[in-house]
Amino acid sequence: MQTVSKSKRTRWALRDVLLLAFVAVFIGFIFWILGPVYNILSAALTPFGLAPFANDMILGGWMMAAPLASILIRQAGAGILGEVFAAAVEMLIGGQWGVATLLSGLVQGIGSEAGFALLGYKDWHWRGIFVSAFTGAVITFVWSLFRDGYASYHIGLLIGLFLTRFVSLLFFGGVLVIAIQKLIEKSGVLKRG
Amino acid sequence: MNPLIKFGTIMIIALELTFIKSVTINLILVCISALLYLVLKINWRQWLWLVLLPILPGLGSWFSLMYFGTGDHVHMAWVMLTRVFAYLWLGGLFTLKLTDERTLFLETLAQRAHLSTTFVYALVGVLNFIPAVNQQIKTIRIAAQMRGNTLHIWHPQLYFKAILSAIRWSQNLAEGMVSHGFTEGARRTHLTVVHIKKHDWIIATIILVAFQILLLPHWY
Repeated sequence: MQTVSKSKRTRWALRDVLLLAFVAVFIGFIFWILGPVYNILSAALTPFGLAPFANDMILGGWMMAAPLASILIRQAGAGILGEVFAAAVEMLIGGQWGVATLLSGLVQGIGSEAGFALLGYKDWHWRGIFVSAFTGAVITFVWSLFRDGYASYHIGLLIGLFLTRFVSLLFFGGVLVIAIQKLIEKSGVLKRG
Repeated sequence: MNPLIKFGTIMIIALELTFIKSVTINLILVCISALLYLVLKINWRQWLWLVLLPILPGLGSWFSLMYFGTGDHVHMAWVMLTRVFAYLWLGGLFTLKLTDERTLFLETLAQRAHLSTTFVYALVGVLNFIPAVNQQIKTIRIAAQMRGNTLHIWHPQLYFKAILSAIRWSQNLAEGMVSHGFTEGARRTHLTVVHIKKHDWIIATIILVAFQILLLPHWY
């Protein structure tokens, strides 16, 4: 059983930081192991010009470290830190985007964190999780307009991409995170003290 | 060059690159990185990695911008293709050398950037666990397969079990660190004191200023 510190102080306890880092590394690796599947899908869509859909489809998965860190640690900044940790690991094990991974990780962390922040860091259950999935989709999409050249796409494709990303975040960052939270709460492995 | 200064310089250029729509700038950055790699003497596998890895995401963007772009989308398609290379080649300057420079990088973070030692040592600890994490995920999936369940990325059980491992390991590591004398928030003395040399700052400034000047002409 792990006790997560309940303090409202901004000082980070060692065990919280370690838990957050480990969760980030695990999430990063789960999606890293499945990387070949993503690459095949993306390669198959490339000749049709639909490769960005592969990216948006799985983005919610890449971003899971943020909401998971938030619901586990329940502290402001946990989402950003978790996602930056995950991105740093991805960069180190050789992600395709090099240094840009870290920048994207920061943006994704801010996107997910914004949802919990909007609710004043009070709701760590389904409402907060869904709001965070929504802000995550919007903020990362704005980033993609610049970084991935999305701003040059037809409006039709843009809408399609946004919907894909939104559904991906609703599923991975919303439904799945809530299911994981239920399992954790049922098992009683976390104690808040 | 101190790895933290190098990291900062690279991150600033990468951030600017996100908003720069220029094929020429991207290619110049790739060429400069290539020259630096020649000086750094990387092995052929690292060269292969640098050449092959960006191809898929680069072509992915290229094709879709060619098909579904509007405005100056042909130009943007080439920008995206070269940008992915620029990101990776730039980043490689930091990451490919990190194995040798990791300790110095983390020491600089703690001593010069004054990042809390909790974060620095947590990072050190967790980085060492990376191979074990890889193994643990395989174990979780194989263990489930032995019971006839295949855990896919959409199964909450997969993450739940991963989080259980994360909880157990983080607790063990925290206990291990404390029992080896780590005290949160305590003032530390350093065996090797890191100094950032003045000429590191000067080189970084020159690189960044030169890069801004490079941006002035209207490149393709």
